Amino acid sequence: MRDRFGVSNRADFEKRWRRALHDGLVTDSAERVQTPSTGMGNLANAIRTIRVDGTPSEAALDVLFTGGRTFDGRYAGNAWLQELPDIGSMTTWDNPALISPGTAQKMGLVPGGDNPKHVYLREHTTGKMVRLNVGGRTLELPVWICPGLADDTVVLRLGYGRTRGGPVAEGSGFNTYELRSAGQYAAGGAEMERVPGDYWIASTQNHWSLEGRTEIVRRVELPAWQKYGDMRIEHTDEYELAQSDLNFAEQLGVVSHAPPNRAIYHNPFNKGDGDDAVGKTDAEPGSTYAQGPQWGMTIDMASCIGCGVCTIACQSENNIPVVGKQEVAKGREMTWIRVDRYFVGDDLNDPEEVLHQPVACVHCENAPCEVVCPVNATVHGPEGHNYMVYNRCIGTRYCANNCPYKVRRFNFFDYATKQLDGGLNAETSRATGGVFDDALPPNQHFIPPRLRSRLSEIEKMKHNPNVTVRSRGVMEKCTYCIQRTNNAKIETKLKGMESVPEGFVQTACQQACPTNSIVFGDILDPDSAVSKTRDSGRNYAVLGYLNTRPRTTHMMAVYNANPEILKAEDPEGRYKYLDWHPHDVKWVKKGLEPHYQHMDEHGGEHGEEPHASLGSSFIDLNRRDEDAGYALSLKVLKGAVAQGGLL
Amino acid sequence: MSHLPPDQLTSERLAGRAPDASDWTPEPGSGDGSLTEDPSYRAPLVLNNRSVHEITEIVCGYAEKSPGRWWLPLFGMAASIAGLGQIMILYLIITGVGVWGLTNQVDWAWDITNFVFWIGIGHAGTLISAILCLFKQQWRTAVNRSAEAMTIFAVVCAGIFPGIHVGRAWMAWFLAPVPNSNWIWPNFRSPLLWDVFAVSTYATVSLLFWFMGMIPDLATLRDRADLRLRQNPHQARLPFTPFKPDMLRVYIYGLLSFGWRNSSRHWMRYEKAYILLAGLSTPLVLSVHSIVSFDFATSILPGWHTTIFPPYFVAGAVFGGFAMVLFLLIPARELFPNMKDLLTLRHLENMAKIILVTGMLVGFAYAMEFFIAWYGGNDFEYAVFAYNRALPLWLHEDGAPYWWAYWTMIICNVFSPQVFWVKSLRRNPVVIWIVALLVTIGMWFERFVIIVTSLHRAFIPGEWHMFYPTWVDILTFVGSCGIFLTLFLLFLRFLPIFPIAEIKAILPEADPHGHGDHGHGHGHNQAHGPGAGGVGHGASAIDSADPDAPTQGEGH
Repeated sequence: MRDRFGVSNRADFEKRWRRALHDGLVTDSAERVQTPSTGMGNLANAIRTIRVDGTPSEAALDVLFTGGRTFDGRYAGNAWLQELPDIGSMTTWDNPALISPGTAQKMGLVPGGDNPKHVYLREHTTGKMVRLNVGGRTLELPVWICPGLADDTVVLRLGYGRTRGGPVAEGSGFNTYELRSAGQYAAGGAEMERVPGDYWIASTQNHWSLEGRTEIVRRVELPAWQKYGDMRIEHTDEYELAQSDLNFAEQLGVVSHAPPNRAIYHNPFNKGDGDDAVGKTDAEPGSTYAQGPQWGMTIDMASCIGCGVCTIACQSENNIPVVGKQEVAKGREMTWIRVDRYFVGDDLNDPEEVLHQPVACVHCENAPCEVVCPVNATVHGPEGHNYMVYNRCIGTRYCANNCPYKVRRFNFFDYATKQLDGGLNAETSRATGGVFDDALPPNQHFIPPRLRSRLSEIEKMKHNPNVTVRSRGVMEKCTYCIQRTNNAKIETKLKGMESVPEGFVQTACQQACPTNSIVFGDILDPDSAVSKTRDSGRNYAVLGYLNTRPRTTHMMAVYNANPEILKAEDPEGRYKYLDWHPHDVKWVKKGLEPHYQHMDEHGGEHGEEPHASLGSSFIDLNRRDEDAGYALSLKVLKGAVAQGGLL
Repeated sequence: MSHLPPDQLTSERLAGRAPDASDWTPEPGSGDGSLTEDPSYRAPLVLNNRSVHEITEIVCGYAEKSPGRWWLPLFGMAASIAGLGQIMILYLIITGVGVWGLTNQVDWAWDITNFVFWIGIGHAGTLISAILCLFKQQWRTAVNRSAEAMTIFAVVCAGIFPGIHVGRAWMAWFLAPVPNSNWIWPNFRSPLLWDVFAVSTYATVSLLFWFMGMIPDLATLRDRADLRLRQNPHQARLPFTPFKPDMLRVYIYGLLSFGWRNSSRHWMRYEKAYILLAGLSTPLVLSVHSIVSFDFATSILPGWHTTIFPPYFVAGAVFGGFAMVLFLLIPARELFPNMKDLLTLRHLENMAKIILVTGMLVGFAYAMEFFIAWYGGNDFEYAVFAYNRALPLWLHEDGAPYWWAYWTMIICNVFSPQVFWVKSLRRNPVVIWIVALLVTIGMWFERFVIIVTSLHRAFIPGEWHMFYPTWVDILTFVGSCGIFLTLFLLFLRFLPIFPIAEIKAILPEADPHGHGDHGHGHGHNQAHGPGAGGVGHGASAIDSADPDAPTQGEGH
């Protein structure tokens, strides 16, 4: 306290205290802005200490000790972290030893079968148990495959297998500390032998490969970005009567070479009162979409590190339940934002790279989920949200089937009332396996309230009171933290302000993201951060060719690999796109040959002024009079009049 | 003798002056007598020269007499399976949809497969009743009653699944456009809501059609029971009850027959109503399953999003429905006495031909789907067909985990009906039954393939997930089969399983133009009595040996 007030004795403190009371703040107590410096040399030295001399072999494996989601084990009692998929291997609730597919095949340790690609084609994905011997210490634990690891290397995660950590921690994972000597991060000469038995592993992502679907996750190398980043290609398809004006990232997607998908239903929020729009990428004046705030988000995959904090923040903010290992294995984890992880390439043993992408509900303007809900439980809001109305939902799950991003989560059981509560109630906390929750009565709705045993008060405190707790049978998904945006609107209105100031409201995921990859705000405000990120040439809509018109768009990653590495890994330069030219692109990924019928001179050159302020658009010329905002996403013109010509 | 009026023929038979049915022999080479190749005459639709009275006796006999020792054990088994299904449904609703194998990636599997499967099965009855009626196909009369009953029962089984598959079944009434506390209408753009209207319309119209068609026959049963009661007032009562069985029949059939008294005014209205309902049902054959197909076709999921679904599903429904009709009626034909006279090999052959045609339509649709997926150049669509369905996993490591379901579907639906090109095979009830069974299985797998293989590997590879059914999934489906079989066995036991009136109307006796005018092949030989062996083609005036020849022109 004294340090905080900057005083050393009581008399000074009294003075400062009264001053602070008068002023309402303690002056000079703000944290000073610091410019951290990274001692790269020190870092390199530290990394160098983690080394094992010599080459590993099947008989003398290299072992690496790392922290997992539970850090060093202190968070093993935290069910959120137990259920957060491990980076890379996407396992939950356990810490199997990770080995490369090649090693697994060599040593007959492929989980469940003989083809690493088919590990997940089983109802109970199981890893084979092994006895690992590191420097004379042994432990029996399961192995799991992680593509991209070096052969003959084992990665162990610490922090699991606790014996006295509460019901959530106990029974989950294996205590790899038993293999480690103090301060050790790497060891050599380890031996691994198969012991009978299989261990059931629950992982959230069941497929490793991106399957060549660069439509979903796009990335380029820095030289290509430098060359083409500002490019916008205008293209008119006379046959399909469509006109497109796409930035670089969008050119890499299906929308640049596919016939337009036309919506049957006009978007009622885009219908205005006037007959000409300022520009076809704008909302029709007078329409709902032309009035702020219109929420939108960009997720920058260049700065995203795939840490998963967004998942936890969202879970905390929105009372998202933890479902337990058995349900995770059935694909029923409930988190609204997830980080997908893909290995790119044909050879699992030597993937070309690992890509990751956070995906949450993208709040499509032409949401496929809204059309198909029979009871109108998911409808569109005037600010661009796709609403999920829990009390109307009867749980037909058609919306989830129709969502191309698969972001909807269904409450298959009463997860919310039967959560693992961090060990406070021993009967209800089950970390691993077993039948899902025998202890509690099946459905509290069937028990009269007066007889219903009340949840303990402490359990209730962990919930966010601003957000409903969903019962079983109800669908849920990302809401753009509507409780926060609505609260922000209320507060600003109470203060008599016209609109929510930029930065006043943050979604939980945005707030928690350590690299500020998530940017959320009012896209109609030309000064908002999100408007600026949306104008970037890296911005594209995942599966945008479906004409879903998502409000959350992703920004393509631009990698700056060491040219030596790049040459070694990609000798043909497939990923460099340096020779990429719309006319004769050498597209070697599976089946993604674009065809350009007609190109104008913009292709490949960006001679004139940057088009940065113009939104990308893909216009259906048949409908241009009806549906003014037929754009990939709603964009804002910065004062420029729309292009003439074909519009 | 066949030119006698029907009642006279019967009395002649009873008096011993006309040959009995047992004297009838089928024409050589015509199987049981119905499979004639002679184009000059129409083969008999009812064998053994049954008179109208015999038709009544045979069909009412099924409802009045005990069907045989097989019925009760089979019914007991079906009822217990149905009960098991109901227990599974109760378990589902109490515990949650999670007792099924569904995941956030595959949100529909057995539930909607079963729904579409049962609705499809119902379409045979409607087609037989409505479209074949409008096309004046007389052979339909042997199967239309049972097929319509199957439609009703199939719709009952189908309707269970949308009701129970929702997460909050106690709020399923939100689907109805009735006032609610939120003042919200349902979403009329949703195909699931169209389903609600389509299936309820279908159920209503089919039920009306089936029931109304049965009224004259129920009245017949009522009257026969009444007659028996009057003739024998001292019938034994049913054990532990104060009821005589015929008394129950009089009351229940009487209630159900709505006061039918066989007057010509009643018949006139009946015929009008029949034609109206046939006309109403005809568009339903096409529309109901088209709307069910819209559940998939209007979505954006690759493998679902294709315009071929409406005709493909309708063809598939007729295909699967006829298969189920054959699957149930061929054993029934063996088990019930004299049923082979009413449901002849010709009927079976006709239905086998329909199966062949619709099977080829369905096969064509499969091929077109695949072709367009390749030709269209959409990678996601192509991946669904090539990598989610067709390419076996053992052939290529990127192949389909559900390849076995797809190939079961292809073999059962496309290849197995092809045996019907061979005439001897399509006239063999055992072969037809086996093919019908295979087709039923294949049609279930078709819906499973459409739903699950499209969902489990959709757009985003990060959300690819396998689906495995739980025992609750499986037992719920088996239970629905039990419900269907239970209802069908009850129908066989208590209701007129043939439309007595309609069959009488297609007998030669009922033809107002008389027998001398149209084809007189050898089939008519037998009716002319033992002494008239030489009757050939031509006018009945040749029947000089027939004492009744001069009366030929009268009485028709």
